[in-house]
Amino acid sequence: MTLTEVVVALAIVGLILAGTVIGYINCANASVKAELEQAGNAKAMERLEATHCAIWAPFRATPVDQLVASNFPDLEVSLDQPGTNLTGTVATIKTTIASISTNPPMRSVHIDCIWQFQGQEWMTNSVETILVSQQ
Amino acid sequence: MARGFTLPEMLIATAIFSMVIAGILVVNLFGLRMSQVVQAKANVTAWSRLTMERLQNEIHACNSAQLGTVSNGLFSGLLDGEVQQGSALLLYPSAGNTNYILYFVNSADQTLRRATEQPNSTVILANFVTTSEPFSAQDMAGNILTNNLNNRVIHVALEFYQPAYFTNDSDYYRFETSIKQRVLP
Repeated sequence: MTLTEVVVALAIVGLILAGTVIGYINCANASVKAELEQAGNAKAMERLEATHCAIWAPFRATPVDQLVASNFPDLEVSLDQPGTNLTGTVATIKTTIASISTNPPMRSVHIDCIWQFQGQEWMTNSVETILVSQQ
Repeated sequence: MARGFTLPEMLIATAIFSMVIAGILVVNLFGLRMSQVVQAKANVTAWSRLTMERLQNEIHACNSAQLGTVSNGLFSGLLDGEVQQGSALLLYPSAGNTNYILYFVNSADQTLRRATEQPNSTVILANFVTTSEPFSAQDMAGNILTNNLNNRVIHVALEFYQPAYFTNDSDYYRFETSIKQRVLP
């Protein structure tokens, strides 16, 4: 067995081991990403549910309209609870409210939860609904 | 005649073989550790999705909801005028108080539990819950209310303590969401 053969054999073994380790790390990262995506979705849903609290009653004797963008400004939230060995991921929640129809009065509410995964990939969790005015 | 291996050749070959085996062992141990971490995270993710979906559906569809505390197995509701934050959430799926669903944190063993009017229906949903008052009623701006305003959102904020396991340090996790009752009385 020559030195070249030994070096080539070691290189092959090294590549296999490195591939296995990278596979495990990617698996763990995918799990963390899924966890953050779920947290991002929960945060977006949280804001969407909050918009349901807004009173929008244009047909009252004194019309009330709380379902406007100024009542739901951009919000910075943490997607996880930083512990002993984790860094928190900060997300920005953006709310867009648009009129769809005036008769009957309908508006679309679109929520984006924007965050960055491990300082590299930008992610957005979006939810949307259509609200009809209250009587 | 073919010559055999010399002692140095055998020693070097054995050393290389040992290093390769050691490398494979280290990688497998690393994989085992990562597998445990991933499995724990996947279980928590799956659990929280299922539990929160059920809680969400039950709040959306309930006839009325009340916040309060549970002491010695008895629910005590918060009064109008009190800060609407407590360790328990009582849901009435229909008119009348016959049927109910109760979510509460049992501070004695740090568990989140769900109970109904049926006997022996209490189940533990989560362990290591460190939040003593996870349920609150908020307005659209996220302020905790001090009245029983029906146009409110139920906010759930749960913190969990993850004890140290294998070679992982202990850690904290947080799950937070808001759910608005759809059927207003």
